[in-house]
Amino acid sequence: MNIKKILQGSLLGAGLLFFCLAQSCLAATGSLVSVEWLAKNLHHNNMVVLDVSTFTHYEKGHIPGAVKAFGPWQTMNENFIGFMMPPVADLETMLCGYGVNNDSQIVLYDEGVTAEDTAKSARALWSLHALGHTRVAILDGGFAAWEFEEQAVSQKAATPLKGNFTASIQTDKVVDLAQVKKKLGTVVLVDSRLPEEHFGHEKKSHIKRAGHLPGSMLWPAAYMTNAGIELSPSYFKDREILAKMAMGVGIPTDKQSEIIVYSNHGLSAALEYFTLHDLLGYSNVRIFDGSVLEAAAAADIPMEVDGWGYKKL
Amino acid sequence: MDKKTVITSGTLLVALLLCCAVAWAGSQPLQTTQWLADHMSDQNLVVIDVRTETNYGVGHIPGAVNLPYAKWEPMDDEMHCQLMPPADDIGAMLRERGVSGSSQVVIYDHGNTISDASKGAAVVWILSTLGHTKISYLNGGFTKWTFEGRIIDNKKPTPVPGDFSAQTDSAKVTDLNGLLSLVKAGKVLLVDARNSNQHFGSDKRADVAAFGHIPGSLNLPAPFLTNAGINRAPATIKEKKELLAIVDGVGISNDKDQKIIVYCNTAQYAGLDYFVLHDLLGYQNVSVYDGSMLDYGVHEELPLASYGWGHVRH
Repeated sequence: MNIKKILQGSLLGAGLLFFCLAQSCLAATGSLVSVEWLAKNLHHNNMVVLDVSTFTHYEKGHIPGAVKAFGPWQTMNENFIGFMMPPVADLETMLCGYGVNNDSQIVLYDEGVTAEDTAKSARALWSLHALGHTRVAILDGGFAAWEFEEQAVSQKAATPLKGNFTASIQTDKVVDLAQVKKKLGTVVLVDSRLPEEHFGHEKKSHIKRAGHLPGSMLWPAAYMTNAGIELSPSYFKDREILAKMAMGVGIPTDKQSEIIVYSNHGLSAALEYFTLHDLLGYSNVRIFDGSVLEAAAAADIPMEVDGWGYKKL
Repeated sequence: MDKKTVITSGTLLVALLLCCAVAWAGSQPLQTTQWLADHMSDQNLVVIDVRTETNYGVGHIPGAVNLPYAKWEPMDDEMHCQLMPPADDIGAMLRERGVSGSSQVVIYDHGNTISDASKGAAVVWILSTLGHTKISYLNGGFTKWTFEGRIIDNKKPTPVPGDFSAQTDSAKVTDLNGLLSLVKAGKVLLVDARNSNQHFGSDKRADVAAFGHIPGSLNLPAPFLTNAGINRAPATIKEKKELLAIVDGVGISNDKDQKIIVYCNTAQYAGLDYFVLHDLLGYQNVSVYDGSMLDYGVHEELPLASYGWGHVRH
C-alpha cells in the first residue's frame, strides 16, 4: 500500500466523517424534538416547520418561519363513511404548497395545550409516514412549550417556495373496514377513546352505535401527555411511563406485534400510532382510518358494550 | 265449620296474603316513584331525604324527614377520611326522625347526577350495615319525582320517635386492617368504584394522597350504573339485565358467595356499587372499605398500581 492510497483513504474517511457529522445535526433527531433542539436548528436549510394549529392561533403568533399547515389533513370520504386521509394527489399538492421537499426535515407543532392538540400533529406525522416521508418530528409540547420557554415568536406569515415532494405510498400504515373485519381476533386492537365511550356508557351523537370493536384494548390518548397537569403544556410522558402503560393496558411486549389503532375519527388514534410506533418502537402499527364512525354505521360488524374489551375472542 | 266462618277465614286469608304482598313489595330494594305515591299514607313508612338542609327546606316529598348525606359519612378529622358515625349516634338521629325497626324506610336523593344517586345508595348501605332490614331506594330520586309533576311541599313533619336500635354489622363494612388481612389471605375480590381515569392513575382527587388503585382491583365505575345525563335522564339505576352485563363485563364472576370489598375515594361511589351488587344482583358477601382511598393513600408503605387496568393480568 503506497502513501498515495493511504492519503486517499484517510481523505475519504475524513470526508465521510464530516458528511456524517453534518447530517447528524439533523438526522439524529428522532420523532420527538424539544424546544431547545428546534430553536438551535430552526434556520437549517432543510428545515420545514409546519404549524397545524388554526388560522387565528397562527395569526396571534407562531414559531419564526413556520408555515401555515392547517390541512385539511382529514376530509369526509367521498362515500361519506368517515373523516379520512384525502386523495394522495391533493395531499402532494398541499405539501408542496407548504414547501415540503423529499429531503426536508419536517417539524410539526400545534397549540400544545391539550392532548387533542397534540393529536393533530400526530395525524399529520402519520399522514407523512403513509406518504413515504419519514424525516418528520413533533415538537414536544407544541407552541405552548415554545412560549413557555420564552422563544422568539413571529406574527409575520411565512411564504414558502413550492416544494418538490412526491408521495411513495406505504400500504402498511392504514387499514379499511374490510381488513379490520377479517383480522378481528387475530390482531391487537387498541381503542384510544375515553373509557366511557369504550365501555359503551356514552357516545357522540353522530356515532351510530355505542361500544368498542370486540377484543379491543383501551388506552385513552388523553393519558399520553401531561397536558393540564399543574398547567403543563402537552408534553409527552416519559418513555418509561408510556412503556409501563402499554403493558398495563395489555399490549404485548413483542415489538413486531400486528397492531391496529382506532378512535372516533382517526384523530386521537394518530396519537396512539405515534406513541406506539415512534416512541416505543412497535414496527407494525396501522390506523383504522374510518374508525368507529365507519364501524358503528356498518351493520355486519359487532360492537361490544357494557364491558372492558379484555375478553379474548 | 259453618259458612260464615269459612267466609271470614277466607277473607282473613286474602287480607293476610295482601298484607304479605304489600310488605314484600315494600321491601323491594329499588322502588319507583309511582309505588311511593301509592303508599304515602302507609302507617309504618318513613321517607328520608338525604339532600342538604337547604334543598330540603325549599321543597321535598310530602312527609319526608331530612338527614343530609354529610351526617351519614362525616369527615373524621383524626383519620383524614369520611367514616360512618358510631352506631349509637346515627341510631339516635334515626329514632328522632321516627325510624323503628319495623319501619319501611325509603331513601331518596336529588336524583340528577351520579353524585346524587351514589349518596342515596351509600345511605342504603349504611342503614343496612346498621342492621335495618326494610329499606328501599327511590329510583330517580327527587328529580324523577318532580319531572313527573308529583306534589312536593316544604312542611317539616314532627315524627313520633322510633325504636330503631342500630348495631354495626361487621360483614358489611371494612377498615384498613380488615382489608389488608383479606388481601393477604387472597380471599377477596377488590372492586374500585371510581372513574376510570382515577383507577388508571392518570388522575386523582386533590385530597387523595397518591395515584393509582389497590393492586388487583377491578374497575366498576359507579357512573356506569345509572342513566344520569343520558338524554337528560334523571339518575335512575340501569335495568337489571344491563347491570348483569356490566358486572360480567368488568370481570366479576357470577359466584354470588365470593367475598367482595368495594371502595372509591370516600365510600360514596362504593355505596352505589355495593347497592347494585348486594341488593340488586344478589351478591351475598359484599362489604365497603369505608376509609377508601382517602385513608389508603396516606399509608405510603402500602402498594398501589398505576398506569394500567386492574383487569389486565400480567
